[in-house]
Amino acid sequence: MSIGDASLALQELADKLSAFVVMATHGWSGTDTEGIGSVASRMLEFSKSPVILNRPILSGSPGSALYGIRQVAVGLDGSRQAEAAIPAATEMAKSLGAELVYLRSSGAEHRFTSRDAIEQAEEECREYLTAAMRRASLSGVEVRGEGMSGNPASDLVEFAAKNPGMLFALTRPQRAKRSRVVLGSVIDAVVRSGLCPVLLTPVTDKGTRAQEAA
Amino acid sequence: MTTINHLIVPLDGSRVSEAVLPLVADLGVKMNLPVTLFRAVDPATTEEEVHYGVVGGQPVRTDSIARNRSFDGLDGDVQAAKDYLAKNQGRLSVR
Repeated sequence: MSIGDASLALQELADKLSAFVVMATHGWSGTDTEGIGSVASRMLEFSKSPVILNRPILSGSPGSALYGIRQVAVGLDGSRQAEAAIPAATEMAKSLGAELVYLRSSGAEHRFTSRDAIEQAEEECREYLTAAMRRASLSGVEVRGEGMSGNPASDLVEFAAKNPGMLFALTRPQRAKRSRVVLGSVIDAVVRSGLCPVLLTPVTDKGTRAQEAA
Repeated sequence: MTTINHLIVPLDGSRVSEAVLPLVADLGVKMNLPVTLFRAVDPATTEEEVHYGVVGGQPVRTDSIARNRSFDGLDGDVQAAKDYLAKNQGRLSVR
């Protein structure tokens, strides 16, 4: 128990314990902060700790954590920033005895109309996943890769709907002020779908630039 | 490598916030992690429920708004928060 501002006290405690914060979203549709809750919103904006969000209203759905987590899926987009979700996801999958999956949506069918452009984007997606899986294998981590080619947000939501007992692992940038922007459209869609818990690992612009330069 | 040492669960007294407890119990047991249930007591404000719209006699949405208050009654709030956390701790340990 703590006396004072809830989000500040929570951030301090989480940072002190190097803890993951597990919290519910409100489950309402509506404006940004109402959608995930004000404390959750501030945690996502400022905290250095990974946060697991779970939307409660569909807690009886086939994808619910009530059925146990059997699969940890990392949403990747080809950037180093997105790959920052991999370490925490890998540790969770290992601890839970869950399958680890790397997901990447090329967005090809959403972005392009020509068959050549779609095929090229899908090939790049396959090559990226193959390389990422090879890196994981060299570290002794068993992982399955899955590529998709529709709208990235819709692809991830559809994947969650088809795979009960899943936890999504994504990164969240800490640079914007408003929660919808902080979350990003893909994360926003996955969290609001309520189909599975979502682990959000924070990444800073500074950290990402350092990674890119390395 | 990210290391998961601990889980913290913020609770605000609502059933919505408590809906994560089955997930927390599952993660805590399988990952052998200590779990801290967290509740904040704000000495400067108290919350008051406000209902927006009523359908079939039930509010369609309820918000809490902050009201300024004095420190009077804070001991009661602290004890209530402790009791609340103890009750939810029991809900985790019986699983």
